[in-house]
Amino acid sequence: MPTPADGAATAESVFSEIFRTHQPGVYAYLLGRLGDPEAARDLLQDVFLRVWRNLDEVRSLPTHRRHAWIFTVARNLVTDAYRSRATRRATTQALASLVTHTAPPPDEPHTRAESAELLNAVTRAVRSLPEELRVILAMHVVGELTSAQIGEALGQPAGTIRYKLARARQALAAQLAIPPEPGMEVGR
Amino acid sequence: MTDPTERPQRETPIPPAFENVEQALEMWAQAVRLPAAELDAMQHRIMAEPRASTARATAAPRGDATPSGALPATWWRDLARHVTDVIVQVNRPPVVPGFTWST
Repeated sequence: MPTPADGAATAESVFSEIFRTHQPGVYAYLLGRLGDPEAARDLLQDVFLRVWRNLDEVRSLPTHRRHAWIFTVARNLVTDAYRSRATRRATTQALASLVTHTAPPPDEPHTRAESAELLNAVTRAVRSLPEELRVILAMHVVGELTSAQIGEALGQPAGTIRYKLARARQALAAQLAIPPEPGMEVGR
Repeated sequence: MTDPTERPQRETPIPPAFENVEQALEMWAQAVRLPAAELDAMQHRIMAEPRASTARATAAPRGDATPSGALPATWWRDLARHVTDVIVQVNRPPVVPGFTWST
């Protein structure tokens, strides 16, 4: 017969599994929507706090519906965040402050400066993408989700996601003056 | 002919271009990914919070609803105070500079 202690341990292990499975994709989605790692981290915690508080409901869902539940919460929280003036301000500043909380590699000063300059260039290029492309790119690159997984989360076919990923890469290449690669892989 | 007193100017280093988009994206991803230690700390902070079912079973009722769904007495008291405040505000005559109410 399960004791209350068993139940608590089970809840924590179930939550850990859900957190480990869904955190990368949800964080990447929030990063793409908000553009600001700090704001994305705060909302990530809010999303999973809701998962924890409603764990009995979430754990009873089949995997695909659990995924949809979590992303719906994330979408709603982003909508709320957009309504907040403070978050909007942070969003407009977006990734501009990224370099300040990125640990520099232990290199020579001029190498660090070059790295920061390069990172700033990439950051500006990513920020300049349309939000939809930025979200998909972040989910693929930062969240390491496949086109099919991104499509499931955003309600779009995997082929559409692959097409948009290719467009995002082309836009980035143009921004960073990188010559286009023939036969570039557009998605997994 | 160059001036021997003139100090040689340092050339501004030109950042090397990325070889491909993947290289640039990997740099960005590494910069924005959350560290594992931070994720662990976040997970533990969340799990320290009471769950809905746990809160209903163990915690004293706070907020708008009691475990049975009925509103607590403090909620009604606060509502009564709020309504009283609104009535007082609504019935207060507007303050217009240079104007006095007279009968």
